[in-house]
Amino acid sequence: MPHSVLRPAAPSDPADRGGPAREIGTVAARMAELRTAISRLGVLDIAETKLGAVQLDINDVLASTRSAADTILEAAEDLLAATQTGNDYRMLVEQRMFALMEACSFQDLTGQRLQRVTHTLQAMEERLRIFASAVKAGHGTALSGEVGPVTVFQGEVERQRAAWNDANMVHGPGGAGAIPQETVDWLFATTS
Amino acid sequence: MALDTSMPILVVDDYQTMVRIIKNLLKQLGFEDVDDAADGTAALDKLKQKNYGLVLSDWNLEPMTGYELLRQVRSDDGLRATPFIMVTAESKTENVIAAKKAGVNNYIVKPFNAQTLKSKIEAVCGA
Repeated sequence: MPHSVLRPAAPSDPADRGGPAREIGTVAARMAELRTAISRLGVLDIAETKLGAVQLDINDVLASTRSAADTILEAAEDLLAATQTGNDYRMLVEQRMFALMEACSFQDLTGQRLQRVTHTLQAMEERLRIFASAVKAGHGTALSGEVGPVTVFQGEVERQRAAWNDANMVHGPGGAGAIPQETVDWLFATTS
Repeated sequence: MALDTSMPILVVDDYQTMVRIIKNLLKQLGFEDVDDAADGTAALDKLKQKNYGLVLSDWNLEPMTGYELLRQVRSDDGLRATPFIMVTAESKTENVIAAKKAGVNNYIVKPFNAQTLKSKIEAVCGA
């Protein structure tokens, strides 16, 4: 008959030393698995390289769109303020139209940069999905075998930003819950 | 509807391109006396120095948002009557209702066109 059936396990029982040792072994193996999973996630690569590149690309996109908008506005302002007539006016219009067409080339560069950002985010998403699968993590739940929800890691900057946005109802353009001007007008007319 | 195009207007937006677009649209509508401020705090300073006929403000500003600016304007005895239009991409129902309750005169969702801007200004300031 097996030992465990004859004598119930008790931590102080020297005959049951295999129990805690086995558990420690299991925990150590689990920790090794987690360490491997974290290494495969490439956290430092993401933080130091990939996110840095994303930031540079997005800053370039912002600068390009700003520059293009300035060029377009300048052309529009010049045409609206033009006092020339006849052939002079036609020449001015042609010059400004070429400036507008040149400005539109920003779309090519910003498109390529945003595509690179999208690819990087997709790669990070895939890594996180594999990591979550490796450590058996669910949506906001504890690791397998644990009970209750877990607090998602959140840095102080992220926490403060989220709290400020919530407090000031700052959501940014579009997205979920955004309503068109017609609905705004209706709300405005019907809300007291 | 007749508009007093001589009235000073304050445009509050932290994005210079947007300021420039709104200023150009206002110029096309005949308004020449247009100032700008990059956030609520700067706007409040300007409002206390000059008697503006209209404020056009974005919501998403830092450190003082357009919504907070609106609340401060409405709680200031000298400024509370100043017409205030929110020109913003913050287009959730809760934003519109909160702004209305805080005393905004109208609400324009970005992106908008000259006709929308004109009709809202007429609705708020038209004689």
